[in-house]
Amino acid sequence: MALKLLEMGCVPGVTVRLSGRAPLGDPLMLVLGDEEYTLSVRASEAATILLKD
Amino acid sequence: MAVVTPTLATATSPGVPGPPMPDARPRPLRIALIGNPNSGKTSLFNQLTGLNQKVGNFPGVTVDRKSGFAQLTPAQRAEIIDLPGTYSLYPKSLDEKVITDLLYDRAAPNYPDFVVVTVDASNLRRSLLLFTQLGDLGLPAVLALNMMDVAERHGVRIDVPALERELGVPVIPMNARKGIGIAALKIVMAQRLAAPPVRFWEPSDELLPLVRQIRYYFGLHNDYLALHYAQQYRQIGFLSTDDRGHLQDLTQQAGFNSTAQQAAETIGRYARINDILLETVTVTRTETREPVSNRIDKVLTHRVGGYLIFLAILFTLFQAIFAWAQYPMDWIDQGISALGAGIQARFHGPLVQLLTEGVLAGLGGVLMFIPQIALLFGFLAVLEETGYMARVTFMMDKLMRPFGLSGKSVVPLISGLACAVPAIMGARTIESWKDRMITIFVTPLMSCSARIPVYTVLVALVVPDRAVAGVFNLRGAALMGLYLLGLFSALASAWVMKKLLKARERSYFIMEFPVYKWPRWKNVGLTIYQKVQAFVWQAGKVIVAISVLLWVLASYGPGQRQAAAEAQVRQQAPAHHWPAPELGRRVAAARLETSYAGTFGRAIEPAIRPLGFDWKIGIALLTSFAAREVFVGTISTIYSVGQDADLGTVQQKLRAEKDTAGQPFFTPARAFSLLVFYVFAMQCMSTLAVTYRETKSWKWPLGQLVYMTGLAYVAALVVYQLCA
Repeated sequence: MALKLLEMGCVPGVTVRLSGRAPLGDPLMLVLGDEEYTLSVRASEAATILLKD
Repeated sequence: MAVVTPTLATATSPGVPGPPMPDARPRPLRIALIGNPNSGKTSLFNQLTGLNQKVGNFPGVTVDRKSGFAQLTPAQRAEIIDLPGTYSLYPKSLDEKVITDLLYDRAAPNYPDFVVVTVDASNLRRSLLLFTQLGDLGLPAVLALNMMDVAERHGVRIDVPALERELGVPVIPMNARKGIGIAALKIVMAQRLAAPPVRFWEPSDELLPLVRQIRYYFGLHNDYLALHYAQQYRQIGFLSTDDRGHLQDLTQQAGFNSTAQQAAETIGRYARINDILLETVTVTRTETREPVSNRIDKVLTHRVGGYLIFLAILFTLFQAIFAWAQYPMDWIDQGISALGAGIQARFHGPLVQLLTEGVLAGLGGVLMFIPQIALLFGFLAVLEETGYMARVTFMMDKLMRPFGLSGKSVVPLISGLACAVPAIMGARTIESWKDRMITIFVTPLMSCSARIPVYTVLVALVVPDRAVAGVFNLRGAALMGLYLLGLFSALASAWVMKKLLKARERSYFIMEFPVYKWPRWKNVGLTIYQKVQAFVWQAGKVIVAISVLLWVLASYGPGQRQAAAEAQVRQQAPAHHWPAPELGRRVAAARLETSYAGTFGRAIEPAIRPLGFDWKIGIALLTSFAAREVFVGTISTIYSVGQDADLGTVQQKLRAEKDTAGQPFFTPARAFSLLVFYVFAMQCMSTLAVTYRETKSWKWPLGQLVYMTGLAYVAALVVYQLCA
């Protein structure tokens, strides 16, 4: 799972923004990087991403 | 390498004297198309090959790969292989494995001469990951820089010559949807390409001993391929058991940690890609407002509105299939029965009867459903094309999880409305083994297009054609009810399976949201054309063959029994004062009952009598086990033989059928019992075959057969006994 996130461009140093949620609260919509593409990720998977200010 | 001014030394147009060519018709090049999902790969494939495609996603044919031929230059043809979309060369799901199987084995008969890598120019960073992996494998490549228009709108400027320098391969900016750049791409593709000189990432020094050992043992041409052997030997199809054992020993001795190495490689590659992009891409944000796609998402995935819109779309689909398709269907049905009547009026003899009552009646049962099949596949193609299907999986994920399914199961389940065969293959995109198995097992419970003929004919027979609340048609609502019954039984079965199966790994749901696009009508049209063609040819062959066989079995009987039965009826005639048509009907019925088919149907009648079925339906049920859509053709053929009347439409034949008391045979109880039976029963050889192929075990298809047919029998029994 972590490998899949990496391959989808969720690598160290990339900005991540929470842009929305599915109607039932899960999964989440994450907007990644300068290109601003959107990934859909379950909350439990998003929890494995370490954030830094 | 220059792109704009290619020299075509070998291409000469016909009629113009040119230098003699060593080989007048060079071998077609073999070119693989590869790229991320949603990078416009399919558009490019359609642009290159047009109608010149071989696709098989119907019974028995593989959907592993689409391929087609393109004429690159007057002298050079190429076979184009369309590979499934992927983000990297480390397969996470079964459909991605097709790619590694093709690209790792240089000796494979289909090994491509080079690859065309399609990338989304507005999303270059992530798209280049796959490209750098392919480059490091040493595959000659062309980069198709697709969706340039989107990139420009996002303020992304790409220095193409600089990118060519950095990547070491030709780069063609294009817009595959509009066909821009196709000509330039064809010209570059027609030239023999050399392997790219640039290396993007190399295994670290500590890995080199392992990599070199593997490389020399297998005689590989490159270190990176050897590393892939170390990473993926368990999944590489062409390695022998001994080879796998050897690789297992080697990697264990070296203390090789697959996950850590893959993570390090991906991070390393992204670092390199960032360097390349710094040299070649400038981004100027022109607009500060939210992208259109995000604003559409606010509406389409809204807490309440999202589900309502989804339901409305599904409802429109059913209305379309039932109400709108009815007119062209009636024309086809009436046209064919008029043709049959016309032939019978002019010609006579057993051969004419075979043609009209056997072939034409059966053929009508196929051709009549073209409008519905076309509408259904067209609708699904549009949902897929626009990017809406991804939002549906997103909205449904949490709803599906309690049933042991994931959001990704929704796509197979919805395509199961069209046909379970491609739908079950589509389940390959589900990464988790347990989610995938459950999806495969329950997908055939979704009402597929082969059930449409049965549903349509029987619903029209017993449900009045009335509008309810002014808007929706009662028949449309009945049809939707049947579909919902299929859906709920699929979900309930999935829930049971969830309790029974043990998970092998954690399931996850990581998916890219494609940007909303207008559907490309050419792609939609192509999909409809291919599906209808497959339906008419594949199903048509079976149906016509069965219809002819059935006509023979229903027209002739063992020994003199038919003649004896007819003589008996004629003997009774004077006593009852039957008018001529009534006598004719009784004679025909007696002959059918004593025919081969009738004898057979009589034998199984006791088993199905509790469901309200007679031996004629018994025959249709048996032939339906080859494929459900055979039902209408079968019943139409049997009733044509058994009713001495003129050939009418399928509807008229069913209405004319009488039970032993002379009342209409199809009472609501009988019709609903039969409908429910068809909702649940597993009556499709192709589905069983594809389930076996996808699960590699007879356990799953046999389970489906026993479970679904048992469910059908019990449900039909309950319905008939309650309604009768």
